[in-house]
Order: sequence, then C-alpha cells, then structure tokens
Amino acid sequence: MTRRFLLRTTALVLVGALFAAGCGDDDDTASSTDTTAKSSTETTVKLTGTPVKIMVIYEGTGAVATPEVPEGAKGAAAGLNARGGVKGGPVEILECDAGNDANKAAECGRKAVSEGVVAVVGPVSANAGQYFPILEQAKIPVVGNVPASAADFTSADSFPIYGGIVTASAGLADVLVKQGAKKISIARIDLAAASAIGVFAGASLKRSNQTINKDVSIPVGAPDMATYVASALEGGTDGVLVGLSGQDATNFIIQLRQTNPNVKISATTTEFDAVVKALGDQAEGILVTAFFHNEQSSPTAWKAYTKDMEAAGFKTFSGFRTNSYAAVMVVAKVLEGAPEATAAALYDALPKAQNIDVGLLPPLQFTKGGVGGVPRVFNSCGRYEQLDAKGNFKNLGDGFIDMFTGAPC
Amino acid sequence: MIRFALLGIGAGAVYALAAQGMVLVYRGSGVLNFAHGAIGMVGAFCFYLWRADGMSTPVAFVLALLLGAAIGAATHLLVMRPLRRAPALSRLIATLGLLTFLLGLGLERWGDRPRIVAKVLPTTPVEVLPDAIVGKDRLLLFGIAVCLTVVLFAVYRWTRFGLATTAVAESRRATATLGISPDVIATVNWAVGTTLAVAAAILIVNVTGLQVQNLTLLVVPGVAAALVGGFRSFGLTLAGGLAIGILESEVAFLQTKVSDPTALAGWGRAVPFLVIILVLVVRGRALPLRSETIERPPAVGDGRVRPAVVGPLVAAAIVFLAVGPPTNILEASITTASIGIIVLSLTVVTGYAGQLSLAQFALAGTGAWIATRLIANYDMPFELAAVVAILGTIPVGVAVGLPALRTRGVNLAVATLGLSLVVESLVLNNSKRTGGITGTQIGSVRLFGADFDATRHPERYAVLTFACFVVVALVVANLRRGRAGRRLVAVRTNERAAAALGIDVIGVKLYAFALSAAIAAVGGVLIGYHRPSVVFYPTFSVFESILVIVYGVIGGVGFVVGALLGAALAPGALVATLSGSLLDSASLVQLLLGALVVVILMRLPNGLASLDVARVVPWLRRRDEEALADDDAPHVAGRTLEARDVSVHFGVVTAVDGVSLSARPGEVLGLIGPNGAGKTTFIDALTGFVRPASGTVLLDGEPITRWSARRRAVHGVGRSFQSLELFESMTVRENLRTACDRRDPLAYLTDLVRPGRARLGAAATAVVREFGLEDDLDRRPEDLPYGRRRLVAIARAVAAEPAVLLLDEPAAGLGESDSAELGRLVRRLAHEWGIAVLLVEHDVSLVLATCDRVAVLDFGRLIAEGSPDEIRADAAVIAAYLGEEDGRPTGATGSTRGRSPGPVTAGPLVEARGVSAGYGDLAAVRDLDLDIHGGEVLAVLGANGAGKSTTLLTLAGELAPLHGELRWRGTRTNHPLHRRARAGTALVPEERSVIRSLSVGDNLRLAGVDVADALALFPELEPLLGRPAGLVSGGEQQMLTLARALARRPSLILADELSLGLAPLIVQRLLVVLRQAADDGVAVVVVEQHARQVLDIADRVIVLRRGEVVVTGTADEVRAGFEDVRRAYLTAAAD
Repeated sequence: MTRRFLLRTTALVLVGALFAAGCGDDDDTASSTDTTAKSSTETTVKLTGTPVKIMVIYEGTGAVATPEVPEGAKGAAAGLNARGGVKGGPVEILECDAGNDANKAAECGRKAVSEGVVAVVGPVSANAGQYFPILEQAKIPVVGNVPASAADFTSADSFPIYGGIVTASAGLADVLVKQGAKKISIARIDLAAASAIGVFAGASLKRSNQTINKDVSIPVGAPDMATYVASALEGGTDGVLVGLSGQDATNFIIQLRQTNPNVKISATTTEFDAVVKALGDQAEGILVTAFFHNEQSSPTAWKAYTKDMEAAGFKTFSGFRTNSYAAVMVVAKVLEGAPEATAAALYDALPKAQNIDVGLLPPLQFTKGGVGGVPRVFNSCGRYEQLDAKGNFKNLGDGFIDMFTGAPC
Repeated sequence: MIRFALLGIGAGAVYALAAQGMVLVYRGSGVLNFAHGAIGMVGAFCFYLWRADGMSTPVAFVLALLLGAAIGAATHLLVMRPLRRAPALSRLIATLGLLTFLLGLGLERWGDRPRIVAKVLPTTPVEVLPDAIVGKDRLLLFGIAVCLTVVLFAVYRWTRFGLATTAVAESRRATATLGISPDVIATVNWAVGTTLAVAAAILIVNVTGLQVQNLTLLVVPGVAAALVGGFRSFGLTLAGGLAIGILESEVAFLQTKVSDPTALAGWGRAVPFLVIILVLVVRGRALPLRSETIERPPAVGDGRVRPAVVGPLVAAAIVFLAVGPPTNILEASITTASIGIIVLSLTVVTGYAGQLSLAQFALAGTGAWIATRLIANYDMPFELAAVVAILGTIPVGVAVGLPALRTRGVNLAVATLGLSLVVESLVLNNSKRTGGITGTQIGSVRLFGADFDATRHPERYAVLTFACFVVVALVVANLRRGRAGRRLVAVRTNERAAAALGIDVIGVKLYAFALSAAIAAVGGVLIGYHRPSVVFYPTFSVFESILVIVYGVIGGVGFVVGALLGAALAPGALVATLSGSLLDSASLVQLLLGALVVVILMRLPNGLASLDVARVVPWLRRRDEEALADDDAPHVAGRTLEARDVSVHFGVVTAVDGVSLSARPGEVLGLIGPNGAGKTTFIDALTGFVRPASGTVLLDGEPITRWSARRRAVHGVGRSFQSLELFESMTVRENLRTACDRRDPLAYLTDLVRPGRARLGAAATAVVREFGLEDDLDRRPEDLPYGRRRLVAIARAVAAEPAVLLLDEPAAGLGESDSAELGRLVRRLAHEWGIAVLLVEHDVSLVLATCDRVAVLDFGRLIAEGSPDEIRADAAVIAAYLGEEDGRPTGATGSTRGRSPGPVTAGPLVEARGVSAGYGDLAAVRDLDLDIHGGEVLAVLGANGAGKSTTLLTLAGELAPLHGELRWRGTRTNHPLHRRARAGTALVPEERSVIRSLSVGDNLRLAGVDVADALALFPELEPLLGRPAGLVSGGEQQMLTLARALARRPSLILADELSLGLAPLIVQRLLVVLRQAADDGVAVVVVEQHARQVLDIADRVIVLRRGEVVVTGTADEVRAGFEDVRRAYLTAAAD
C-alpha cells in the first residue's frame, strides 16, 4: 500500500500499540522530546573508528504516536559512546518519522539503505509492511521492533526483544488465573489482528484446564459498551481480559465496574496513563503485564539505564524509551562479537546470538523463535503489576516468568 | 433477549440523536447532509477543549451551539444556495466535500487520537432489570432523544415555521406566493439542524468519547435511522435509531450463544446497512426526491482518442518511468495510476450511466481480496488470480447495482454506501476472511515470468500500473464512442426517453455496474499486488469510496482524462509528492480536496477536464467528418396501433375515459383537446408508460397491453416527448445515432475493443435533410436555439424508423416556418414512408392543416372524430375550447356585460414596458406593454402555448424579464415572488398550490390569515378544515387557494387557469369571487383558455398568440369581435 489512510486509527497498528506499552506507563507528553536530541554524538569524547549508524523509525504523529522512541536510542548511544563506542566507532542515531504514513514508512526504509545503517531499532509502526521488504533486500536487520504486523511476525529480518501481543495475551490471562479467576472472558478490539489475543490467551489457560469463556469483539468507537459488557459477563465470568484502545477501554471498564464490581480485570490499552486518570478510583486492582525491569525489580539495571538517559539530557524514562534503549544495547552487544560493525555482519550474527543480557530484561536467545507458535517471537518472559488505589503500579510475584509455561525466566 | 434489547437502547438513542438533525436539514432544504457528523465533531471538540481550558460548561455549550448554527447557515448561504439550480446529486456531493474538508481540518487540528474528557452527564449505574445495569447517562440520552423528538414533532406540526418548512419541501413556489421566503426557511433549518448536530455530538461524547473519525462517521448509522423515518418523520427516525441499536445488541447477544464467535464477526455493523437497503428496495422511491429544476447531469466527454497526441504522451511517460526516476516519483505514479483506474470505474457508472456509487473502493477491495486470497491460499499464479478476481467482482458489482433498479439519485447513493459497508464489515475488515493474525501474504509479484516486485523494481511496477491505466482508459473511451456507451448516456439523461427508444434500462444499469466493478477490480488488484503483505482495511474503506467521488468530480467524472487529473491529487499521488514538504500531511491534502470539490461544483461543475484544451490549442481540434449517406427513402412497414376502450385513472381522477382510436399506416391522425384533457396520458398508455385500468392496446391486432415500454418501442412504437427529453450531453449526431442503433447485446462487449463507426440510418439522414440540421450535427442540443432543439427531438423519434409514431406537442415553441416544415414532414412520414402517425398538438391550425383525421378529447373522453373540416365546424369542439355555451348559469352576479370599464384608481398598479420573458433562450412572450389598475379585471386569453402563463409568472416576479421593465406603484421592481407577495401580489398558479400534506386549516394558518375571513369567502371549506388538503376535491383545493390568497388582502391577484379540470359551476363560483374582489378595489388578472366565461367578469381583455398580443380591447368589444378570438384559437395561420 502506498497511501496514508485516514482511518488509520482503527487499523492493525492499534493492536500493536495496545500491547506495545506493556507496563502502561506510556507518557504521552510528546513535548518531552526536547532539543537535546542532537547531543548524542557531540557531547562524547572523540571516537575515531568508523561511525556505527543506527536508525530509529517511529511515529511522530497519529493514533499511536511514539515520539519518545528516539530518546531511548539516543540515551543508549550516549552511554555506549561514553564507554568507547562500538568497535571503536561512535554510535550515531538517525531518526526517521514514519508520520503514520505508508509512503513515509517506505521512505524511511529506503533512507536506512542509502545511509548504510547497521540496523533499524525499536520501531512501532502502522506501516511496517512498507519498510520490511526494503530492509530485507538490503539485509539490514530490524531489532527491538514491537511485534504488531504480519511482517514483524514472519520476516527473517525481524528481531523483537519482547513478545508484544503474543506474550501479553498469554500473561494477561495467566495473571487473572493467578488472582483466582475461574471463568475468563476476553473483550477485545474488533480488528483482524486482535483475534490472536484469544489464541495466545487460550494457550496459557490450558495450564489451568480453563478455556476462554466468551471472546467478545468490540467495534472501535462502539457508542455504548453496555451490550458488550453483558456479553462478556454471560455464563458467570469472574475475570475479563481487556484489549481495547484507550477510549474504548475506559468506557468498557466503567461499564464493567458498574455491572459487576467484583470481576477481576487485566488490561492492555493505548494511552494507559490517560485511562488510569479517567478511571480514577475505579482503576484500582487492574492487572497488567510488563516486559522490562523497573526500579523495584532490578535497581541495578534501572540505574544504569537512567544514568545513560540523564547523560544524554533526558529526564523521562517511561514509555517506549526502555525498548529502544535496550534494542540499541542488543545491537551493540551482538556487533561486539561480530567480525565487523556492518549490517551484513549483524545480519549474520543475530540469528546465532544467544544469552544477550542488556540488563533491563532477561537474557535473549535469537536462536529460538516460535514462542506461541509465532516464528519471530523469541522472548516469552514478562512480569505482572497491579494498580493500587493511588494509581501507582505495584510489582506482583517473583519477577520475570515464562508467560506460557509459568516457569521462572 | 429482552435484556440485550434494553442494553441496545443507549446506542439507539445515540443514533437517533445523530439522525434528527439530518431529518431537519432534509425537510428544510432537500439536502442529504453527509457532513452532519463532521459538523457535530467540530462543535463537540470546541466545547470540550474550551471546557478543559477552564470555560464554564454553560458558556462553552452556548458558544458551541452558536458555532454549529453559524456553520449551518454558512453552509446553506455559501454552498447550497449557489448550488440550488444544480442537480440534487451535486448538493449531495458538496456535503461529501464538506465532510472531507471538516474531517481533514479535525485531523490536522486535533489529530486522530481519542481524547478522554470529563463527562457532562452522570454515569451512576441504574438497574433497570435484574442483571441489566446501565449508566444513568444512557437513560438520560434516551430521555433527551424522546423529548427532542416530541419537541421537533410539535414545532413542525403546529408552528407557522414548521408548517412553512413542510410547505417549502412540497412546493417552493406555493410557499413563496404566501410571502414566505423559501431561502430563509432553508437557512434557518440548516442552522437549527447543525446546532442539533453539535448538541447531539456533545451528548454522544459522554458515551463514545471524543475522537475525530468516530464522531464524523456517526453520520452513517444516522442516515440509516433517518431513512427509516423517510427523512420526514421524527418519530419513525427515533424508532429507526433505537431499532438499529437494539439489532446491534442482539447480534452481540447471538455472538455469545454460538460456539465460534468469529462466525458472526462484522454482522453487528452490517445489520444497520442491510436495514437501509431493505427499506430502500421495499419502499421503492421512499425518500422524496425534489427536483426543483431540471436535473442536468455533468457533461461527458466524447471519448475520442487522438492517437497523434495520446500515443507520444503515453510512450514518453513509459520511457520516463522505465528509466527510473526517484523512487518517490515512481511510488506516486503507482498510486496515481491505480487510483486513476478506480476513478475510471466511477466514470463508467456515474459519469456515463449516471448512477452515483459510493461503493467503488469496496468493489476494488473485493477484487484485491479475491486475487490475493487465491494466491495466499491456493498458490494460484498472479495472472490467473487477477483474471478470476476481475470476473469474480462482477457479480458483486451487479449486487451493488440491484438497488439502482428501484431507487435512483440520492437514495441509490445511500444504498451503495450501505452495501460497501456490508462488504467492509463482513469481508474486508473481518479477520476470519483475511488470513487472521498473519494477514494475507502474497510474496513477490511475478507476471509472465518476470519479477514485478514493487520494492525491488518500482519502475517495473510503475510501468505496469500505468500501462493498465492506459488500457482501461482506452476501453472506457471506446465504450463512450460505441452503441453501448450511447445507451448508458441515454439512460443517464432520461430513463423514459431511453425506454421510448427501445433501450433496456434495467440491462444498461446492471451492465454499467458490472463493467465498473470489473474496472474497479483491476485497480484493486494492482493495489493488492503492490506489497507482499496485503492490508484490506482501511485501504478499501468506505471513506476511500467517498474520496473517489471527490477525485472524480474535481477531475471531471464524465471524462477519461478527468480520472487521471483527479487521481493525481490524491494524498500520496503525483501532485502531493511533487509539492515536496508543502503537502506532506494527508489530512491537509484532504482538507484542501474537500474545499476544492465544493469550489469546483460551483465554478466548474463538469470538472477540470471540461476546460476545453482544443479551444486554446487549435491543432487539437478535429471534426467528425462523416458524410451523410445518399438520400434513399427508408423502407418502413407501417403498423396499426389501436386503443380499445382504454381508461386510465390516477387515484380518483379519471384521466382517460374509455377512448377507442386507431392510428393507421399511411395516415396522420390528429389528437387535440384543451389542457388537461388527457392527451399525453393517452400517449403514455399507448406506449406503455402508464398502465391502463381497463381496455386493450393492440399492435396489428395483437394485444400489447402488458408489454413494457421498451418492448413496444422495439416493435416499432415510437414517440416524442412534450418536454423534448433530449440527451443533452450528446451531440445531435449522437442523439440520432442512439435512436438508429441496433439493440444488440453483443455491443456491450465488442464496443469495449472496437466501437466501430455507426452511420446514420436512412430515416435519420432524410429527416436531417428535411429539417436542414446538417450544420448542427456536431453541436450539442444545449447550444441550439429552442426551435432547433424541438426539431432534433422529432428527428430523433423519426430516426428510430418507427412503424407507428406518436408525436406529443412537437410544434410547441416553433416559429411559423418551422411549424410549416414540421407539418410537411409529418405528412411525408405518413404518406410516402407509410408510417402511422398520431399527432398531439395544441396548435390547432397545424393539426387541421396536417392531419387526415382529427380526434378531440375533453375531460378524458373522445368528444369528436372526423375530417379537419368536420372538426372545425363541430359545436362541441368549439365549446370545449372556448367555454361552455350551455349549462352555465346565466346572469350570474358580477357580470360586466354592458358595463363601462375604466380605471378605478388614479395611477396604474402594475406597468409592463416592452417586457420579453421566457425560459432559457426562448422568449415565450415578446414586447409586452401592459397597465393594470386596481378595481379592474383583466383577462388574458389565448390558446395553449401562447404565452399567458409566462406573462403571469413574470408579473408575479417568479420569472425575471429577459428585456423590458416592470413597475409596481410607479417604482421599478425586480423583487422575487415572496417579496412581491408581501407587498400585496397574490399569485394563484396553474398547478394546484395547496400544500397537500397539510390540513385545510393549516394551509390557512400557514398563510397567516384570519381563518374566519377565509371561511366568509368560501363557507363550504368549513367542514373540511381538519382534512389534508391533498384529499379534498380539485374544486375545493382551488377554493382554498383563492381563499388563502384573498384573505391576505392583496392589491393584485394573478389567477392562472382557474378552470383547469374543474366543473363549469365551480369555475363560475371562483370567477364571481374574483369579480367581487375587483369591485372592492383589487386589481385582478385572469388567464384562461375558456374565453366565454371569463369575458363575463372581465373589464378589459388581451388575446395572445405565439407570445404576442393580437387582440386588445374592452370585454364588450372583444365579445362583439369574437371571431377574432376564435381565429386566434382555431383557424390556420394562413387564413
């Protein structure tokens, strides 16, 4: 597809974004993308080796705008450069705003090729299908992409560092079981890609011999949630997995709380902060999945991360920053073990890379895909958190576990 | 079940609220406002953002409502009013443009992210039934929707404004005669309607949230609800909204009951639109179509391809693409060409065949879906999958076209919108059918063994799409030049006229939809093959279909080149790409396109392609040099068409009453009779346009009563129309060719490749020579003077070489010499060619001079039949034309017999100086000088077509004079009708001007008159006060009209053909009242066909003949010289 489509909001990407935010501390203050952006290479000591160019593709505008993505990558570059760069060369971060526009997404792909980047990191895009073929052809790997589109799931070029919709669906069902729910329903966005929620949630429920009670698909912007809440609650449901856009999730949860205040809720949604704010005290007890460490779960990793970010001049650490930060770190780690710092070398090394530990998440194994049956999902681990009465997240359980098997990671 | 029904009420109330404002706007201005949701969206955003900025809720609410009112009023005054003479479809498209504009504005300004805002209604839960808990806001919304419905019903039922709105919807002219400005009514309704849109949107946000697209697209379920109410009834609209909400809820309920919930995916959204289509098809033309002016569809190109120009251009473009310009140019070319193909599909169905389709992208998506699913599931080769997809989309196109057989215009647009949403929610946006989580993967495109992967070889793919565009464009151009294309254009212009030429209207419409589906599928397949992973939604969403209309209208929907021009403007296409960063935001492009389409509709209604390049570049000009064939007399076997005891009823009125007549080969049969005698209805019955209640029509002895109009035409029964019904967008030559064309079905296919060069047949050639139309052949009818156009219409009827030819008033508006020429031709057709001719004509002199036999109809009955001489002397005929001599109450009060006339007031009330007036370029009245004084009755007499009604309408301000000036109480005036009505002019138009849907009492209240005053004039109206005016007798209607006019105490009454279809006794009663009014000092002008009765009450008389005053004098003088009047009516010009 070559065009930007107006109704993009309702597109597949929404599903990706739903699961992208993970822990839900997505900070939508886009203005925090401050002017220190260029500082990543300038402020570091002079590195004389060949520059290692890495491109960040993100959505500067649109329903799933992720303007914070470059910050994480720049933070990582600042840290790496301060510590001597990659193979002696400075890490340079190039930004490309896909602008929620298929044409621009393709342009980003072509720009990555013409600039000779070694990797594209951390993209969350409505239009991944646009740049993937271009990058595939040039053998430029995509690392730390948020798995949302068919290309993310199937392209040999795709190296996501966490499971997105696949693990989140399994985890959100699993955490409901752990909290004592006996009959679990799904309330999810009525889009093609979202039907997968049921598949993965169902896979994790098998462990406790449960099946999904009701799988309710809700049209985007449904004027009234009453019907869908009633559908989800049919047959004695006591736990609901909510996978809806921010607006719909808010409306759904309010209606759900009104109808049955005792139902357990796990949720993934866009604009989680706004949802929590809009829900007020009704947000208490909502269960979520997380894919990166926070300050409580690993103070060391968190400190290393925030230190690098602060060195680059950033003071906000939430949202997609962790993902793009970790993705750059993964690229750097794999390149250090490769013969040279080129895209081709990275492309060869990545499929063989094992035990890549960048701190913020359990060690990665790119040799073993097929999590949940999806070829390009390598990481089945995640954590659980719960909202308290003040709207803050509290860690649940013992840190990272495999969301399909329950085994510790 | 019941619980879910109850839960659906919340959504239902939302839909009802969204719909009521649309009903209001439709009732007040006849426009289906697709931008309704978008206007609400803008208002709601302003409200919530102002509120978030700290403005108090009531202040923000009032400001938002004012904003809504301002948008509505501005829309009417700046867009709809200038477009009031444009076809209804243009106004509909303008609202689509407005929708595009506001949506682009909203996205540009506020983005597409949903915003979570503080609610205005409380959401505390209420348990309405055990286990059915809903928020208080739902109940409030429901309550508000019900209250609003009651209030709207009351306002539109009982206030004068509401009555006036109903009246305007029924008849602009009748409302204006009461001093009410239709424009003000429309403006107010727009403002109120859009205010309601804003209010509803603000409330709806409470349930749905604040998001640009969602609020904008609420218009779609809104249209569905409004349609249930027929765009009239507020109550039914509420019921419709609730029903849709409940249906959706029940689908959700069923989904919980089936084992595989995805089996029902999409049905919740599809159901409302299936309701739309069902309602439309069942009710036929339910939505009242208001044709205030003659609908003129946009122009179509001639489909001529100039190889010397096109060849090098195409070759240059292909070379340019093949050498590999920058990739963004290649991508933009691919976008332009593939969208261009889809716009070409619109050219066929909307441009050529005139059926507005909002489903083109749904059809393209169907093509893409079939092709890519075949590849993904069955590894079918790309070429084969494309062919299967194109063929497979055709049945879908035919299904989309089916509602076109029962609906047209605006209704059809709504039906196609509904079908495209059904396709969208059941197929294109349905995971079950689009490959689930992995989507549809087709890999790299290989065609004919070569790699056409758009990523690796964008230049190859660009050349491929461009070549496809060129081929499709040639096919569409070929179609335009061939027989099949002429059938399409004929149907588009006039279904009746097309059927009269034997064209299969149903077949043509379905063909247009089928071909257009196939073309759209080509575009869809190209979009599908563009990338290895296919995204169906929102690529092929209904909004894209709306944009196709925008591209089409901007480029010129009737022109092949227009498709390219329009598509180049699409977001991501050539223009936006070449503009660089200037237009890199798609919402900005949409905003501009929305504004552009509105401007184009007003300034260049036929689109950019209609700018005539050939006029600037002379060497591009070329003439159709086809010579006329030699003049060999055509061989036509005449046939006998016989009517036996044929009767036709319209409701309780008997239009034709047991008429038996036969038209025989080689003979001209004339049919005359006063206005309203049933002549045209009789022709309609013979040709199959109305079905007789009883009696038989026979062709050469074979009963054909049950045959369709088309079948009769194919078997040689040809006709012309009183209103010409020419195919305006074709040249004269094409008009004639359309008539001569063979009706072979094969042309539908062969024309796409080889349209061939049709020659005019022998009959057409002969008639062209006879009328001297040789030099006009390559001009369009609209460029010809009125008289020539008449001749073309007749020529077209003759060109079809009919065995029986029925001519309906062919001489109306013809000059003396053309009339004479026509008479000669008609005789030749019968006597030399052997055709059976039936000539219906008001110009009695022409009939008497031309016909072998003459029949006379009066009040639907045959009152005389014989040779012209016998008819000339027939007392009954003279009575029918000049008024009853017997059976009339003599010595009626108010007779002016013997009374000396003279001005009662000092100066003249109205003066006309050298006034010429008429319609278009035809002056129906020339050089009229007239003084009208208070206290006198002026009778304007003359045969039909003499210019009497034109005179009256000009005096009333309904027609602007072409030349000369009018003075009112000594001051020059050019005020429109409603202003004159307020100043004291009362027009009683020829057509009944009561508002049929209002009661007799409401008709009087609408006029703002004292009911007692009116009843004093006509006490017989009193028992009828509560009855709808449409259900009282014709005489009572005319009394009501007159009572309404007189009770307004006018100083001038203009009464047109009071006697039309009325019994003499009633006519007498009406005339007496007029005389009394004159005696009270009012100036009265009476136009009448029936001379004698009017002479009784008139002071002065003028007699018109062919637009000029031929007799003038006092009533007594005219009575004395009655032979002059008689001559003006009956005798031949040469006498």
